[in-house]
Amino acid sequence: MNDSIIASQFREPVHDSQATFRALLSATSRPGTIIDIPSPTTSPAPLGSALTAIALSLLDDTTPLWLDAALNTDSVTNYLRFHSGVRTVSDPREAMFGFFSCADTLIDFDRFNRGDSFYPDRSATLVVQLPSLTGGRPVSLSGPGIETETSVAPAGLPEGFWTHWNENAASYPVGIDLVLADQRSVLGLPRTTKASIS
Amino acid sequence: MITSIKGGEKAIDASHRLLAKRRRGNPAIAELSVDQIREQLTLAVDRVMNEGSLHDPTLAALAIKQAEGDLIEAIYLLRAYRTTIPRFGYTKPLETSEMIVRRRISTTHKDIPGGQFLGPTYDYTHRLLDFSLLEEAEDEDGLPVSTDDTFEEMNLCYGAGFLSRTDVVEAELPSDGIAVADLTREPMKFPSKRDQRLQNLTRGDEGFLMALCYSTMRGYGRNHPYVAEMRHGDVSVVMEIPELQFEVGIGTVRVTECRTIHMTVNKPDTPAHYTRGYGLLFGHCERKALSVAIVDRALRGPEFGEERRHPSQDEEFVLSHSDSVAASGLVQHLKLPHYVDFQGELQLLRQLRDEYEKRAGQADSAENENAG
Amino acid sequence: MLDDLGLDAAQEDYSFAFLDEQTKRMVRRAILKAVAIPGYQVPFGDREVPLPPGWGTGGIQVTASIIGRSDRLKVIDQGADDTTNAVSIRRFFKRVTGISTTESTGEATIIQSRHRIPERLLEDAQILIMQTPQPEPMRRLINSEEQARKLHAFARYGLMQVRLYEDIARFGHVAVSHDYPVRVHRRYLSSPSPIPRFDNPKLHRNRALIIFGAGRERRIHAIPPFTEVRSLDFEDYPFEVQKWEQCCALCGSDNSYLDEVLLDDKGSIQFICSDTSYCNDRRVESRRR
Repeated sequence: MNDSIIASQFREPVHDSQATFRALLSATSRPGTIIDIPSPTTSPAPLGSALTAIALSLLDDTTPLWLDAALNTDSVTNYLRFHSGVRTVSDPREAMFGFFSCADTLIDFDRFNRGDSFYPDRSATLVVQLPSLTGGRPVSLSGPGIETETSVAPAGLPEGFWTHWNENAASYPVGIDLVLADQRSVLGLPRTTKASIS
Repeated sequence: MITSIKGGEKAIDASHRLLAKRRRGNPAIAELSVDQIREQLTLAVDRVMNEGSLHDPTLAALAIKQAEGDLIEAIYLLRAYRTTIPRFGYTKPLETSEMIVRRRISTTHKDIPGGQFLGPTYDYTHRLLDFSLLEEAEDEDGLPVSTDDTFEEMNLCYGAGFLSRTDVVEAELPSDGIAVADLTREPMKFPSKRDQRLQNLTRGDEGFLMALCYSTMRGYGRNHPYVAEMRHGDVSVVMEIPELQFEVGIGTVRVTECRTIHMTVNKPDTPAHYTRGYGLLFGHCERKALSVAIVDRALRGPEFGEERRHPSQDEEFVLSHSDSVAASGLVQHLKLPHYVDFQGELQLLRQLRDEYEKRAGQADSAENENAG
Repeated sequence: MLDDLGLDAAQEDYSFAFLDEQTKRMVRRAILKAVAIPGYQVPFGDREVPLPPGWGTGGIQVTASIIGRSDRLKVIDQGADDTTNAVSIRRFFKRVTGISTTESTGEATIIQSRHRIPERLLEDAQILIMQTPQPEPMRRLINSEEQARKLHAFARYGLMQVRLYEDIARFGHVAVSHDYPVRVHRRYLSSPSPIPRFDNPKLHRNRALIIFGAGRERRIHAIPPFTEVRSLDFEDYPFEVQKWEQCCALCGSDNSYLDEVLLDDKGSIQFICSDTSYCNDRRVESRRR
């Protein structure tokens, strides 16, 4: 365990958490818009800076967290437990949040809780680390938060991702919500957002 | 420990001594005076006067002291005292339009003729414990520090006439000189009349009435209230002295008066209009005045062809359970010995169990026979 | 003794925006879900704040959870910045955040409001937070929370249509003047909070994010920007807003929501804009011309 990692999180925890949340709020209410988020002073590799910030801002002992195989390391879990008190779970169905080091294993959303028609809010939020939020294959998004249509091109999404995403959107109001992140910024995909692949 | 009836007398005496000791608290701390309670716990005093049906701040303060701050107990003390005092006569109805106003608000308009006066209210305080109150302000001699913050009292006399200026609000009942009912002398009659109801509600338990009022606002008998006017201040009490054949002012009382208006469209033969709810109480007690006014309106439902579906609209339910003295008495009577009743019931229960077992045994054997 | 407790009367050291960080996280997570499911009421763990339930505690908790040092807060009640409750809430946030406040709609980044949506079109960077007494639109028809949840789950809103149609049968129009139910993103029936019907069209495809906080009822719901919001109506009885024959006596506006002002006891009245910032802007502008 690296002591310096344990000792440092946000420079100003109260205000940086707030700024991170506001970035997530903007991203969720304006899907497709790329929003910068504050960086913690350090983050435990392979957990990137943006994912670390999101964890510090949203997670605590009431939010079971699932980590993919690459993230499920001692350094990551120790760091998160120390700073947020979060508990990690191995069964994705129990997770309120799921963190992915890359999108390769993302395809199967159904492993996570999608909420039910009585409580659609009890669905998981998945946060996925991508190499970049630009430069990938462009798709056009529409739905609440988008004036008409907006084009995005996140890099590193697996083949068939958008088809699968639209299936999630089609089961509205149940469904999972997604946050895509690179090192410095986030892009929100709430379940209301529909993609059209040109 | 209750051991036997004979020990009762001793037990009671001992209990009262313990009570007196507890009331005094730590003797190293200065004793609370009735004057202090009257001057510094005025809102508790007001509540005790209302539900005790007696305007006497000093005696209400005494009751609070004696009851160790248990307001329902204090109310009962005042009610019991009330029984002992003779009635000299009746005052004229209070002219609240001539109130010297300390506070007056209307929520239906941003400004009203005569003006809005916020006055003393906790409404817009931030509920943060003020630790500075932990320190008692005393001068070098240990006497209270005098404060020169004398607030000029507002001398506003203004009727609630602005409400009646249009034809959309129900006319207020005129002062017609008809005798009003007096619940302290005659029992409640059902179906009830509004004078009885208002008196009952004024004497009623604040918590009970507030909960009823709250229930109307959460869908159990909505009646769409607006506070047309809430005013608080001093009014003169005037009495006609028959022997002298003229009116004399015998003093002032501080009161809170609440007028609510409620959109009412139920009756097909009358146009939609605002109907009224009303609450008038001693002292400063806006929470209670509001609750009285809104429950008053809820109970007026039959006048406007409204269905009686919810507790707040059921006059027998409301008026028969509003009195804190009655309620507290019956609830607490459960602490009285009941062993005679219990013995009788226990015997009955045993009998029922025997019969049940007998029946069960018979059914079992019948089943066995059928199976065999 | 107080020193032991760490309570210092002289120094008021509250957390930024009063709420503790754990409470903020809980409210923030609820807000994010509310935005993801437009019009759906997300349950949240209401906390006691120094203002009483029913006076805007839901809005206060939402504002406290989203506000940051760079925000400029505007608080209105009935459209006005100078009403007592607005003053009280604005003071509270000034005291516990130290941030700057404004009375101008255009300058605000966060607007907390009770019963009005500003007349001036909101912008992308703004967030409107509505104080909401009763977030459940079905509550006026059924008392049971369980029943209401079932109706939302199956989107069975016939009961509300029937209720509105009964009005039409009786009065020739819908007799609901405020808190007029809306359908959000073609799915959830929602309460717009007790705004006048006049403000309902402003909810439709608004550029700003709108969050509704109901503290006492422990619910948060939201309408993201550019979301379809339809006031319930019928083909032959389309939704209509309030109209006045008069103009604002101060700024002359003929398209804003007007307050009736009583001038005396004899029935003389005047009408002025309920939105004080809008009215001021118009007057400043006309003076400049």
